[in-house]
Amino acid sequence: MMHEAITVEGLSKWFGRFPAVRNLSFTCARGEVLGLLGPNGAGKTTTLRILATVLRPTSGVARVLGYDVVRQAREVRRSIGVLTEHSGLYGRLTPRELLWYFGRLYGLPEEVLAKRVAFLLETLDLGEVADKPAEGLSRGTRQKVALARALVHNPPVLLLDEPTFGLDVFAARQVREFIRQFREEGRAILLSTHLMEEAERLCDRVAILNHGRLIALGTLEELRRASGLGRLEEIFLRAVGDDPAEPSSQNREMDTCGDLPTGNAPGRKG
Amino acid sequence: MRPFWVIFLKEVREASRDRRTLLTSFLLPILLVPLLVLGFPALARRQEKALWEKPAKVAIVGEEARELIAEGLRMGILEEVPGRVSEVDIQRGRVDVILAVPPDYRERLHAGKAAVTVIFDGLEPRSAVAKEKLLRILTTSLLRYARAPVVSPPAIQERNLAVERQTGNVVLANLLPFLVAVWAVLGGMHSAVDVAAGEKERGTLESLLVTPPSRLQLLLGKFLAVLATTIVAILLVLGSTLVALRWIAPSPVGVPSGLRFGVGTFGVLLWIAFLLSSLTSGLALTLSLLSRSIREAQQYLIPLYLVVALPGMAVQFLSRWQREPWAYLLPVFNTLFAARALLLQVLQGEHLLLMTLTSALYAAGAFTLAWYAFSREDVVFRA
Repeated sequence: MMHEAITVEGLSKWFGRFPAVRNLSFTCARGEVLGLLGPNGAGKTTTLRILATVLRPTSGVARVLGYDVVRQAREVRRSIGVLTEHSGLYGRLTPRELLWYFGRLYGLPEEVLAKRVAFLLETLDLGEVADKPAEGLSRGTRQKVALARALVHNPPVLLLDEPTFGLDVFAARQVREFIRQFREEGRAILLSTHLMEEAERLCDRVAILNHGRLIALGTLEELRRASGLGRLEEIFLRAVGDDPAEPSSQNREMDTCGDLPTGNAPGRKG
Repeated sequence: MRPFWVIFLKEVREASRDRRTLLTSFLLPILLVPLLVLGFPALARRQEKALWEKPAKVAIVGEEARELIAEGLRMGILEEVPGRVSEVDIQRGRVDVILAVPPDYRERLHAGKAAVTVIFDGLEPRSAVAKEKLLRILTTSLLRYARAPVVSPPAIQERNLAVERQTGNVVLANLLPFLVAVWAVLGGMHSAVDVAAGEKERGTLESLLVTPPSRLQLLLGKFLAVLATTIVAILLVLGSTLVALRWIAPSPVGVPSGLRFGVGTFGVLLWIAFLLSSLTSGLALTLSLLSRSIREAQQYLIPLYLVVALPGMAVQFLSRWQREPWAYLLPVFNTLFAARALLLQVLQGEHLLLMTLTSALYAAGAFTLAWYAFSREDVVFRA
């Protein structure tokens, strides 16, 4: 059984003349949470979209469970659960209908799907709202429904884009608990976030992106050791500079690896 | 279950819970169409009034005929079209009406057996009005014979080029293509907006794109949902029009007891509506996919509505094109001409075939456009 669930090698994506992702390489193992950190426009969402097969890379290779995201897109899509940045729901459908809809799109047999839907509704504590239209649900509940949707086909790999964005403290905490649980289940999780505290709490390793480039990658301990700084926020600010829109001289140094590691060895969960 | 059916059933379920779709696609045909049917005679009367104010183009066969309508020509009520004419010229619009007298008219007149023939097309408002004008002039002119007791006035024979079965459906033939055209866009409009631009605006499209089915399967499901909504709306339009014509306002619009609308006609009409709706659904879906938001999609769909609804209104005034094969090559027009000819029971088999082939081609083109848009990253993630 291969250890690496996600492999990215020299990945680039250009939108016209704008480089969204440049020569990105990293891996993510099963049972690992890899955090993608970066300011707005750093290339986090573009990377996730390439891995989710909805964007084609301009160059480079990305594989999920060994499947190429371009040539074996359907197999990749069967293997991943995606929580998008705007995890909108169909307001006129109930959570139960939504899960059945996506389960059928994933080709699950009816009896398997029935059990899976019941399991997810119970596990994510959605039983009471299961038959209410999604448009009337709170933001936190909607996010849990979106998570359930991403998990309906029990994927071994999860791509989560800002999973706690806009949630209150309680809902965010509950979602983090679920993510930990998914890791315990042995899923590989690629988590895009701009919340340093969340990354510190959840991620086994962190990849810092800026202007589409990978400027740091490692466990928190490795990053602390290399930078001599204690908190992830400080490490992040040093990596991206004070003004992420324009690379600082320090940032340009980071672009060429600087003093932070950009190694690709998959870290183990702590 | 095939993925496109999963998509189709979900979209239909959502549409059935959407008040805008319920109102526009289902409730409006039931409520509005009877009102339109009632209002149609008023439009017809306005058109007729305008025609009464214009001189009617008359062709004369036989020199004696000119004498009979000399007063009308002098007063400018009638206008003579010179040269040789035939009945086809009425259908082509060159002439409104023909007044013919036989070569032995004078001998027959002396024998008291003379007759003049008025040839017109009862389906063409301009021709029908011209005939009325001509009859009035002729009646006045023939009064002279009443003062000459030795001779019987000539009889007036009317020859209507439109056969009886055509005139029975004339109102339906003028009205239904317009209503079908309107709801071919309006019927599926909200559905088209919802399944593409709506998905973008709600942020649900990306979740759908990361599922295993191909883009083609996803698009096919959405297309079928828009098409189904449109077809249901058109069925309601047809139903409520027939109800209105038969039971609500049969006499004001002059629909006689001879209204013919059998199962065969209904089937072919539905086929024509299906072809037109396939084209409009594909185009509406493309425009919706190209839009960033529901509001933008609605703005794009207004011109599409006009492009389809205006020909629906125009076909009755362009009825002479209805007989030309090339008219069945024109997008939108081809289906509307076919619908009109069908209701008048003059639709030719080759015209139906031509319309079917061209419409299928246009619908396939529209679907391909939608597929192209759906396959493009810059369209799907247009923000």
